Amino acid sequence: MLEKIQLLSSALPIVFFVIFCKRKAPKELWVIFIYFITSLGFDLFLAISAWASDHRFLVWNMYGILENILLSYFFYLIINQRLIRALILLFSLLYLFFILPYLKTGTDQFNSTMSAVGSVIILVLSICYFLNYLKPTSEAVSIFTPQFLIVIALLLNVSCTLFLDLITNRLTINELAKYWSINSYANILMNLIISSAFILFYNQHKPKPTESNFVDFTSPNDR
Amino acid sequence: MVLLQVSTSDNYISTVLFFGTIGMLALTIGLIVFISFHQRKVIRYQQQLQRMEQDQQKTLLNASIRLQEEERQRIAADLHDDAGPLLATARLYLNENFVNLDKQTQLQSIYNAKQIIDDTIQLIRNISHSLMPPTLKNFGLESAVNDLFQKISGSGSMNASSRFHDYRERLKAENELIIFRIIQELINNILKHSNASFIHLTQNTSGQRFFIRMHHDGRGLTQTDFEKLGKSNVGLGLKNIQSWLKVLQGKIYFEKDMSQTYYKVTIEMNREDDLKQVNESN
Repeated sequence: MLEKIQLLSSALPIVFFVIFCKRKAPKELWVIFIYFITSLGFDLFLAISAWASDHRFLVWNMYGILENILLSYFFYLIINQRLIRALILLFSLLYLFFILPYLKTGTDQFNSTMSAVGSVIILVLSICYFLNYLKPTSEAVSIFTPQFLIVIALLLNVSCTLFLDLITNRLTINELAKYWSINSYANILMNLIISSAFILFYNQHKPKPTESNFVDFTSPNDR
Repeated sequence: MVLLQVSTSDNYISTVLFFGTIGMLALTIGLIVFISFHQRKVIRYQQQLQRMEQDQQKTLLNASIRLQEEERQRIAADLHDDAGPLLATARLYLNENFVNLDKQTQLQSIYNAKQIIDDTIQLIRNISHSLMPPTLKNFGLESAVNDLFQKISGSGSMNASSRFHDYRERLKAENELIIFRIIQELINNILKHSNASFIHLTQNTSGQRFFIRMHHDGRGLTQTDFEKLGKSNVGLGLKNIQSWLKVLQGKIYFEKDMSQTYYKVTIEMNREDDLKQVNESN
């Protein structure tokens, strides 16, 4: 039941993006949209394909790589500091360098360490993004932007699943089934927050009704 | 460690997972709440700053409007009290009975009327010069300031001198006028309030920066006094200086010199924009 709700909730941001943001969305929102398409694609692949359900962990590992690359690119787009952008590129390359050889072996075992490393990278990038807000600026900028909400969603998701990722390797199939609900709840929460971020984007970019500058100079008697 | 020893493997995993996840969540929520509150505080502080700036601009605008009004009233008073009676007197000499007068009296009346009209012309010229000194318009800031200082010195009330060290290229006419007005306002204040016996003005440039510095030996202002007066309801002239400087994008510093004997006022502006505008207009 929970799995189905999670699957449905992961379709929610896609639907909301198409309805509310498609036309004016900046690059970073498109990246999140692609991330959700990928996520839903993998979920459906796991649900439909017999090979995928046999090699579940291998598929998860592959999804983990794509997830981290897309989210790193999202942070690359929303963080303006050059140093952090360079570090994002560097860490992404290092991440790929270490995880790709592991994938080549075709081992059908969940790679807890690399998944946890990916989570920590997202955690650190989220904190970097928040630190940007703590800097004194000359302009009063509202904190509640769609990007900010997306980062909150990602941070909450990573916080909820970090320890689960760390110990997944040690769990038996029964234990995994028991604790996997944490992941499902975290995903549902993230999907809901990101959906609301898309609504927020729509509200912030809604065309405002233009004030009429027309002044009728004719006499009331002539109208 | 104690926990590890006493618990079974399943309990251990549950405990780590439970406390780890709860701890991470608590930290994350704490971070988000902290940032939200901090940002709200920053926004409130910046709004307060903006309000203060708006108030300051309002004060400056009011001061400038008041100055304009005072200037108009002064011109109106000059015209009404001086030019009006003069012209009325001239008219009396040339009234309806003028043709009935004998030739000698007619000539005398014409002569008197001519004298009065000459005085009126001189008066109107003075009013016009006080609005826009012709020396400033024709020969520039250096000549106008030297002229002004010579007049002050000539009155005998104060020893006044000025020296322009580097003024080969004239500033834009509007900027010259603004600087001249600031100098006039400062001299006016020095004459009224400082009880100084001498005043000396020097002009200099450093790179693209243009400086005017005035020294005097009377009672003067410090920067703190200037800022305090700028915010208060009194000190209309100083507020005008502030608004003029805003137009010039210049700065003014009031200080005591190293020997603590003289007061210094330094006006600083960037010549780069001025030269750019002059070149563009050419």
